[in-house]
Amino acid sequence: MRVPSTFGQYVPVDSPIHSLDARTKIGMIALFTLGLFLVDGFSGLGVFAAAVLFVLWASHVPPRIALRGVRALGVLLMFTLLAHALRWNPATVTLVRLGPVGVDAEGLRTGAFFAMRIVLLMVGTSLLTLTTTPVQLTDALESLMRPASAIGVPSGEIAMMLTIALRFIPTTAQEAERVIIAQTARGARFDEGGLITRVRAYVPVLVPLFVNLFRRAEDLALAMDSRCYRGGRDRTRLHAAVMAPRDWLVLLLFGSALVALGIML
Amino acid sequence: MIVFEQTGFSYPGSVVPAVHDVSVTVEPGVLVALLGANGSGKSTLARLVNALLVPSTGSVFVDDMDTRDEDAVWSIRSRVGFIQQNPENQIVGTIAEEDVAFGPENLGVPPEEIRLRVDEALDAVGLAGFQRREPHMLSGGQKQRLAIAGALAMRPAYLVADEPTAMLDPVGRADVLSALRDLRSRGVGVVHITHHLADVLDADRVIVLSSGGTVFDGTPAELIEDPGRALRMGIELPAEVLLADELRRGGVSLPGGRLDPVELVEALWRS
Amino acid sequence: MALVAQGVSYAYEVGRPPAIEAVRTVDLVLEVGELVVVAGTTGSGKSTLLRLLAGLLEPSVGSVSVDGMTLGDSQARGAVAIVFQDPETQFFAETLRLDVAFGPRNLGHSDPQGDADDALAAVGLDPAVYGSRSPFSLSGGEARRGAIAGALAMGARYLLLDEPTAGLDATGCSAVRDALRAERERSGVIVVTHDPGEFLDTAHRIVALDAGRVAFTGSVEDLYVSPERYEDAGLELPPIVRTQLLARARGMRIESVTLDPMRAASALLAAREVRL
Repeated sequence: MRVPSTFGQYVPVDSPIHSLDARTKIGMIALFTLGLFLVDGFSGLGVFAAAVLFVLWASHVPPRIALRGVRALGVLLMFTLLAHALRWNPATVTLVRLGPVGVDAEGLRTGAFFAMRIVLLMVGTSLLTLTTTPVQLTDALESLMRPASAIGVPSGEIAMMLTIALRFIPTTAQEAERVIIAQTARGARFDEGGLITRVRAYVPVLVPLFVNLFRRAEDLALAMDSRCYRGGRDRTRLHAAVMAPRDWLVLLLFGSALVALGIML
Repeated sequence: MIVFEQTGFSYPGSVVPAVHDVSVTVEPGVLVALLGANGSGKSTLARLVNALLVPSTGSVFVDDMDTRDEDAVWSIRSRVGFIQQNPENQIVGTIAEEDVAFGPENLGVPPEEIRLRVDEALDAVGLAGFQRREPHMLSGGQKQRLAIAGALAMRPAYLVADEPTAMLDPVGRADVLSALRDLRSRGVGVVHITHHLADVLDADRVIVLSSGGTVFDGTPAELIEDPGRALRMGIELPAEVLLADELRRGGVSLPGGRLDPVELVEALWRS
Repeated sequence: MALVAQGVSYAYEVGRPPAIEAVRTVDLVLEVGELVVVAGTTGSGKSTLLRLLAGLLEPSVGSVSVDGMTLGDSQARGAVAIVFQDPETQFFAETLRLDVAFGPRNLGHSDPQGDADDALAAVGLDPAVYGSRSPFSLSGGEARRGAIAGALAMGARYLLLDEPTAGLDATGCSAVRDALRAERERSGVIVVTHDPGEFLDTAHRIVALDAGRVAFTGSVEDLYVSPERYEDAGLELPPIVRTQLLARARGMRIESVTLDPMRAASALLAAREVRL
């Protein structure tokens, strides 16, 4: 079994997009998503598609990897297309007719629009995870949440919890695999019976994992105390992400481009 | 110096104290082995050093700071590093360098300084170049050395290691022991808690705990020269040490300390 | 009637150079009534070999058969039981008896809890005392034996154990060794360990692996007579054994080499009197 890396989707390449601050990219995603839902024509969609292609090119991520997710969406896209395009006993003009079912030109266009938007949303947002490590993301989240700490939200601690959770994903996966193999060696079957039987079959896997989890939490707390963890405040960072002028510039340009297009189209 | 002054500790709800009337001092630059059977109180004693636990009776001082003093706790913890038995459950970073940086980050050390300390610490434990390695790709011995690096990056004066080799294979154990010895030569006072006598025959001092009290405080050589006493204290002695003792009793003249098989046979032949 | 590995090789990441050959052309035969120790340093392939013998991995070359049948056969199911490292981390049931009964229950035995009690007794854990205790309340050595009982209860003819004494103190180690000594009468046992020294008076045969290949195979006495290839594989005989072997080499009469310091001492002292 290929153990998941803590780096998740991240593709380790050097590119201008990779070196942008994570907060810039999060900002761009936010603007992109907002803009995408305000667009109402194919021309507008076309501009967003061009933007995605441009960023994809600039990120040096192999298109094959970036578009991997689109294939997984195949069913959803087909469904969206058909849901809009097909008409039952339509009175309006149709392109094709097969008995009581027909394809409507207008509906086809709407379906294509929505499907296209889903694809752009998917590729656009995955560009974030492809070019940003999970730790950069949690750091960015912590930074963005920091203003909320004024009203009592423990942003530092939340970010710490997220980082630790990420850190233990591969470890827990390894442990789960080991327990499954061990219980299988004792004759456990995980692929037999109805739903309830299958769920119950996982008890001998879940219990040991949970017991381990509690032990782990205790040990970790002790270790963190020993290393003087006092919560999020006053902590410095090995890699302190700073918004460089370039980051602000990119964000500004991106935002104004989208607004301008919005006004024009 | 770490000073235990008639220290006693009872866990809440427990009638029998886990540790009672322990008076011991540990100097910097010295490797002290803390031995004892399971339940002898050695883990409890370990946690009393860096104020994870506070004594019920008596006191514990680290460089003249009282562990009961709440204001001194963080100073104490930055002065005393702490390594546990389970290598996995001490690592919080997603990659090695981030874990080593955890301690200095908590202390508010400036980023450039953190970078220096991280690289230095990884180097010191033989993990140079491992900066971007993910923890789950490391062996047990490497993880444990990573934990030591994490403690080192805080520039401690002392390191308490609670059975650090218990879950490791021989290669990992040898690497960790070598790292601990190296710490001693850098002037760090090491308290190595273990139940293997073999691990600590090159310690400077051995303290043996039994049922929460100290029953021995001396050199390793002094400990093994009376195997009967060691066994009564609950120490497992290696077979060859017991053999040497039995041969001595049979009239063979053997020098004290560890003897390798060649020396033993030599002495036997000559007797 | 034996568990047989014939010319077995196994490689990780085949097709992606460099493929890691964990096991190379290993032959091994285990019969009921034997305890064989498979020794080697980290990376010698011993754990991989164990998994091949248990049927968890398919050899890239060669074959593994149990009592003449291939491991995949439904008849072979339940013939081989394997105990992994740190098996006590797989406890999940409310009582030790229920946990140990898990294996026999899955195999369709008629009285899984009876089998569990028998297995607990076999490892020195009195079922009347330990059966209804929570497996999570056991000490290190007790838990380890409880987990081993979980495999014994399956009634397999061949029992494979990966580092059964790792992490235990001396009392725990000898309790496990005693349990295995008793078990080898009933079944064939293979113990994989990086510290074969402590099994020298329990084992019938030693197989030493070095980088996936068999460096030494023979009885314990064979090993004492010529330990060179064993030592080349990175393994060391315990000092007490080396002492007795050196004495022998010097001409002193040592009848049988033992791990027990008292017996070794009296043998050496006695031999001192009679020199060849």
